Amino acid sequence: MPRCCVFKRSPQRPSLSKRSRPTNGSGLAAWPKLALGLAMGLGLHGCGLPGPLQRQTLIVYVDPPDTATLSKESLHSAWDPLLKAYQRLHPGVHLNFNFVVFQDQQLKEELRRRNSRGLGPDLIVIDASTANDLLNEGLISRIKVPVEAQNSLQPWILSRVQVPGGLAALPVALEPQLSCYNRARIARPPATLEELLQLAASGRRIGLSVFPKSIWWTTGPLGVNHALMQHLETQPGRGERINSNDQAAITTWLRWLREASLQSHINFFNNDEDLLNGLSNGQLDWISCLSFNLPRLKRQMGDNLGVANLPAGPYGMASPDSLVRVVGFGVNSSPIQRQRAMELGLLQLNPLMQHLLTVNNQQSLPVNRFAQAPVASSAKLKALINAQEQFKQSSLFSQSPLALNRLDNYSRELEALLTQVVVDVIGPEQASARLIKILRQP
Amino acid sequence: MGDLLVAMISWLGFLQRPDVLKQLLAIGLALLLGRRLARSPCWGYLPRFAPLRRPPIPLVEEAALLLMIPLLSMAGQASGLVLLVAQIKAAWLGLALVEQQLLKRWLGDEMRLRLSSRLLRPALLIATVLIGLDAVDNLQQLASVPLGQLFGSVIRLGEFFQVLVVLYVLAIGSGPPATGLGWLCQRGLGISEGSRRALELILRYCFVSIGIVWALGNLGFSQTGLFAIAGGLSVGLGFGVKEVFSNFISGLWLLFEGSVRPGEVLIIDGEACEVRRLGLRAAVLWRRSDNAELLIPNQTFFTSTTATFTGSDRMRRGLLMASVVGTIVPAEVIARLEAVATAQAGVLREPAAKATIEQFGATTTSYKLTYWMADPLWTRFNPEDISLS
Repeated sequence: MPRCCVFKRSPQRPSLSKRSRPTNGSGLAAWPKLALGLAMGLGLHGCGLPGPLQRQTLIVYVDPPDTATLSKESLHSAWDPLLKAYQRLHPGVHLNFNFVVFQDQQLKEELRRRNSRGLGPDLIVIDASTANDLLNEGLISRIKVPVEAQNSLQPWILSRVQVPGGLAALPVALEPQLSCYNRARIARPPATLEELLQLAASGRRIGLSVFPKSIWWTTGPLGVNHALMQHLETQPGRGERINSNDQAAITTWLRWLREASLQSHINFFNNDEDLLNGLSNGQLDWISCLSFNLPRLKRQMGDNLGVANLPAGPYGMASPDSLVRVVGFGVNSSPIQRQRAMELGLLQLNPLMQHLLTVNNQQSLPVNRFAQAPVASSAKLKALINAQEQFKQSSLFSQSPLALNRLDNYSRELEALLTQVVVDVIGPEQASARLIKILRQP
Repeated sequence: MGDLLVAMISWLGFLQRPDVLKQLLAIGLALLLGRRLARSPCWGYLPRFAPLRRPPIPLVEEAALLLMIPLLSMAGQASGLVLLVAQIKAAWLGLALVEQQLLKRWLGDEMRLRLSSRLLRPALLIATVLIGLDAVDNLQQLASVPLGQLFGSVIRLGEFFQVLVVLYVLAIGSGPPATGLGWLCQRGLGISEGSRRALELILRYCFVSIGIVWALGNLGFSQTGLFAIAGGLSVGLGFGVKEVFSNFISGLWLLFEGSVRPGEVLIIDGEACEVRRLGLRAAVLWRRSDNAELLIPNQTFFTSTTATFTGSDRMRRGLLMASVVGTIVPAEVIARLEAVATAQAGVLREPAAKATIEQFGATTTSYKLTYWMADPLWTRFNPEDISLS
């Protein structure tokens, strides 16, 4: 095991046992029922008291990027290797998990409500942008991570979660964007945008998204990603002169989108869920997808599911999105729960564990720069690694967390604008000016 | 089932949190103080505020809970759990208020109690449980927890719970719609009161049957499963549940036949009794003489002779034996007896009451008075009315 694999265990927090003792004090004698309930609960869970086996329960919220039903059973199975590894390292600790799934749109409200009752999660599995957002609203805790663990992360990943005084969350996996297609209908996936259009012309049904982060992959092949990034990185509100070349490039991109929408077999959707459903129920033959969607699509499509990298274009390779999956830490945990949660989070960063999880789930890539995904044994993992490479080289978000945050902020407005372009309500020239205006607004 | 147990055990993990423990302590403290305060004699010293002299305990407890929320917030502690308990308690208080103030006025005591105990309180109890579960977990996810497999179908907690609730509501709430339809049929087709009641019962059985079929379908029971259940029932019918099933079928048969319907008057052990309800297993009859309710298995009417006064009409012939001492002229006695019978409110004028001499004796003469009554349950004359003195 390389040296970097061995993290120092986080400094021991003060034992909870003393803190929790007052609740068992004489004050409860007046309420036998309450005392009995507490005693049962604490007795069953060990209350962090020193003993042969400490039982600890961690409440884990999961925010999946699609609406596929994640049962408690499937989440227990997915976390089982991690739990087993943890128990090998901490034989005196018995961890229970309760997995609760909330979709993105209800997550904030649920967290706010449950945190106010002290019933919030100990761990929360989200993407990096959401983690930053939740931390800003005080719904998760800022964490301090050992330097060794921070150094094991790729710098651009670390920068996505760095906040003053610590990290917003602990990165654990990467989920890049790919193309998913129906192998029964498409023998060879398109390698270029030209081939994609030819495929549509030959009767294959293509699904594209008007959601900015989902369609961003087309900006690289059409040579507009640098221009867009420049505007996203410009200080908001600064009235810098608009470069005519930039506007021309943006117009070219928008024109391509509009012309694609004119093809009878290319459909645009404003919801990624519709794309996934379309592919799985046979209404679409090719879509862009996130690696997280692969198990669900595999379950629904079986061997017909094909996975490939997104097409390149005349100006370069595709510029896919890549989600940084992180674990955030709740605000209601007891010190011992927080300690266990942190131990578990750090264990996920271990290169061996990263390797194991990558091989097991085949849907994400390691964040630890010392962990390697075994590409030789899996074409799917190879596609994931290529997609991640495309992301690093072409989408430019890996270099600018600020640009990504701003794209998230303007997402709704951009989505509305792109919708108007593809339904031909507004021309590409007019739309490009409006797009720049949106990106430059304060 | 395993997932559910794991989830239930994990909820106890919340008790490891100081935030939760402090709130539970605050709730316990508020309830205790509220109870003590409500029983305090100090309220008696508030003569000007009569309504506050002895406030109900739940109200004071509620006030104490609400008071805890700003106190916890000021101390920088979480208070959402206390608020949740206060909200639930307020809902129960509200229900009690509705029962006492509104339902008591609008409905009779029996109806109010039935509505409250069978529908309103169970509904609020279910809502409370669901709110509690939602506080510690995700209801949607809990609903998808598999309970086990039955005849190849996976039974999930949500479906199972939904089926139970729907069947309960159907069993309890199918009364009013059935009554409404029965009333419409009575008005439209001119059927008798007894037929209307029979129709109501049959409609209720239909609603519940449809509910059971829906429930089985919703639980995903395959045809094979249904056949297996039917097979099991067939064996069961041969042994343990024969009587139950026999009573159920007898009840349905009697309803269709119309011989024993709610409102009918039957002679049981020599006394006229009115059929109140025809249940799944037994009929409930009311005996006027001692105001007793008799539960008679449906099968009894099916297999034994039953005398009814309400088969083709509701008239009943009554008989009175009288003995007259002395030498009063028989014609006078006969006339007097017939006049007394005719004067009775429950005795019909047509067919007319008729008295005859039954037996001559040395000192007494016996008379027999026969008369017809419109109400089969009307049984006796006022003794003072037949005094010949």
